[in-house]
Amino acid sequence: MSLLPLLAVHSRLQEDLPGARAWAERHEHDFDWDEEALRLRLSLKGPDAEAYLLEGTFEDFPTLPPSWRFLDPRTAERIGPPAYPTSAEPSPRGTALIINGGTEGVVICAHFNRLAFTEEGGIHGDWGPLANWQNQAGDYTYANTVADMLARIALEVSDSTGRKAALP
Amino acid sequence: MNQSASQKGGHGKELKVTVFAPRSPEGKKFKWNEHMTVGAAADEAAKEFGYAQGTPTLAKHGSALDRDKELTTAGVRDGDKLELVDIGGGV
Repeated sequence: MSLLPLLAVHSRLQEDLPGARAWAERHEHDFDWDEEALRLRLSLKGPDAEAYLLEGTFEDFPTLPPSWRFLDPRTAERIGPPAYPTSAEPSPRGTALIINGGTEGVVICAHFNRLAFTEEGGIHGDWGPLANWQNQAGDYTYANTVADMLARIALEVSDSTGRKAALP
Repeated sequence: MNQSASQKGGHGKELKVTVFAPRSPEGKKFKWNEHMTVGAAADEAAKEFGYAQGTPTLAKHGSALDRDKELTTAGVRDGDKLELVDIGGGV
């Protein structure tokens, strides 16, 4: 059951999406927004032009964070680890954004990803309820607009070291 | 054009750059001293774009620049187009 009226979600996304779309155009990423499904898909390239497909869904955003995951870049199916890039090790940003864990075996581990919270099968029970997602401190990554989330995830992909596992 | 406090009366060349932030469709122009650090410049740009939290840096051609380096040492040149990006780690 949704917490927010669909109109409120659309209203917020209408604020966020122009920036996100402009960011994607500047970086030549394919940007596919499905308004009815509240679903964004973005094509990203890792080193050696390895293709990745990022998906975000936005039910109850911004009261709750989006769900971000990687899909099979050929079929847009959920395939778990093979869809995900491997964060550089050691991370140039201190700690990796993409780690093992969660319901898919790999998760984008940031407060702006619903799937990182225990409530959604993620590893972070210490963050409390999903609604806490914007209340974080410290040196960890922070993003509260769609475009900023995309930019941070894209940065992680840009210096990744290959897939978590071979595509099936 | 935004001009930082460190620009006024400082030694070194002036760099005029355009900075884009993910959240904004439009870029903003800045005028910085070449000896300013990337981190200080990024913090200033982030504030102009309304960022209140995070660890911003500037990126050039998709590569995040070292916050501790001076702008020219990091590869920033007059006329560059740069992008703000958060470089906080994963949690």
